[in-house]
Amino acid sequence: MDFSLFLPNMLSIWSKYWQLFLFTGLKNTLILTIISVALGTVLGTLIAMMKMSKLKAIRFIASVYIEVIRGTPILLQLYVFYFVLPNIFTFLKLSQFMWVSVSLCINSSAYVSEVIRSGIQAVDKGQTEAARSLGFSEGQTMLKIVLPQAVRNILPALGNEFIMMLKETSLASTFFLGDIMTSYLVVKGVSYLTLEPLTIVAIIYLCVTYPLSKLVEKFGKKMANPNSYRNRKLKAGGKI
Amino acid sequence: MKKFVSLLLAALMLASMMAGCGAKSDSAAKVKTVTPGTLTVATSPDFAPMEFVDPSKQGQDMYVGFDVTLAKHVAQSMGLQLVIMPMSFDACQTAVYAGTVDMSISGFSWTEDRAQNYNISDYYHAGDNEDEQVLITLASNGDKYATLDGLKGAKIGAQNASLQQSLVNEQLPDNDLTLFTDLGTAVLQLKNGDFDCIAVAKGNGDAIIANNPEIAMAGFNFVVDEKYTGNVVLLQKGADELTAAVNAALASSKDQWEVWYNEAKSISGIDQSYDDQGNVITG
Repeated sequence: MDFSLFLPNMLSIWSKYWQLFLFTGLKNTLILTIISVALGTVLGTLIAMMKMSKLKAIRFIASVYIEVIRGTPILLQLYVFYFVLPNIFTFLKLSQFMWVSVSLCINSSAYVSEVIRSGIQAVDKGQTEAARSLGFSEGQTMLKIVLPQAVRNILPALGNEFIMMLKETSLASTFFLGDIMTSYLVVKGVSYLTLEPLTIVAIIYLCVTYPLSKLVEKFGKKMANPNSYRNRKLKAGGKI
Repeated sequence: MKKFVSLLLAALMLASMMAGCGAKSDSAAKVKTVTPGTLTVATSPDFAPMEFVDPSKQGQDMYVGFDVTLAKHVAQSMGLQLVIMPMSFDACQTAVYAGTVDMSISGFSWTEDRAQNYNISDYYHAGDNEDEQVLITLASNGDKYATLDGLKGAKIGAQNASLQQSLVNEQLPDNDLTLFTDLGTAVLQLKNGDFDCIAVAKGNGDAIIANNPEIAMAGFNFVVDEKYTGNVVLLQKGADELTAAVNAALASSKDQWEVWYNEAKSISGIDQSYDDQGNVITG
């Protein structure tokens, strides 16, 4: 393959379409990601609570929800939400963009709920037992003792979920929803050039995900329990 | 578990039945559309010059090309507002089937399977787009693949379920045929040497060559039967009133097709020229 035209082609595409990539593509990708992760977190918290419920029926519903969403490809879910559900819920006047957002949000919620559940369950059982024996009610224990500690485990994982979702939204380009991959399709459709716009898209994604993942990493270190045995040892200069 | 699976199946069946019901009531009344007052058309805008996006424009205006002009004409002749719903080519058929859109105008060719599952309009004819079916190859190959003799043993690519696929099967039966789903990626494969030639409609070939100076016509033209020279509009099975309205709009616009096609070609930059480095000279 001849690469001598690669760079000139890429530069001419960038100079011609940079606004399409950044102002339309990147903007829509970020909007889709923020909507789906934000609503997904709210819904995911609810599902996580259901999954840890005492009632078997509610636990079962949550399990089915999580297994179905996590066990099917996201592209298939998009097709269902785009074609089937608008025909059933005709009273819901949602735009195509909204249907795809809902689909991504529901997908995200299943993953987030597992993040939250494992975050809560990772809190040492001794904490609950101590709180209960000191006379805290079950709700108080959860709100005042367990959840504040669980947030430490959950937040960094949520950051990773955001980065995952940022990449997953590229599937919205199946319906030309204006995300970065749609920009690629548009440029490809006009120019019949493939590798050049794809490289541009890859660079844009990396410019967003790399700083984000660094940020999550830094945040994760900061959030690590300062009073844990490991960190106390580290601070004292000891070896683990 | 068994119970769960059967429940899931029942839910799916219910969903598909309900989707079917919605569709039937659409076509029962006289030219009723999915959204009253508008004509919703699915298209896959990655196929210059038939349908593509003009990135300098916003909203509905950015969809251009021959099929989009045709869709505008169809909507106008029915007194409806046109709404283009962009999606991938595969999804276009799903959208018509599910009744999400009224029709799909996306460079469809007539095939027997499509005729069985969809209502299909009369043929329309976009300039030389379907008239001439050709092979494209790397410019460095010269006229190596211009004759049947030269083509012996050549690896040929064609789009899955396309007219080109049947043409290669018919007229170059001894050649090694590889199918692809996306023309843009196939061009890359041609450059990589995965194919020796790609079978395309002449209009698409022109668009590819205009943007990829290292690719050229192979000099081989397929013999194209009369029944292949047109495109069709895809509608939902049973939407007879709508199909009739589309056919009427097609008949009344026949003499404008050539103009529309040339317009689309010039917007897509097929007439663009290049400087020494292969950069597009804009202006």
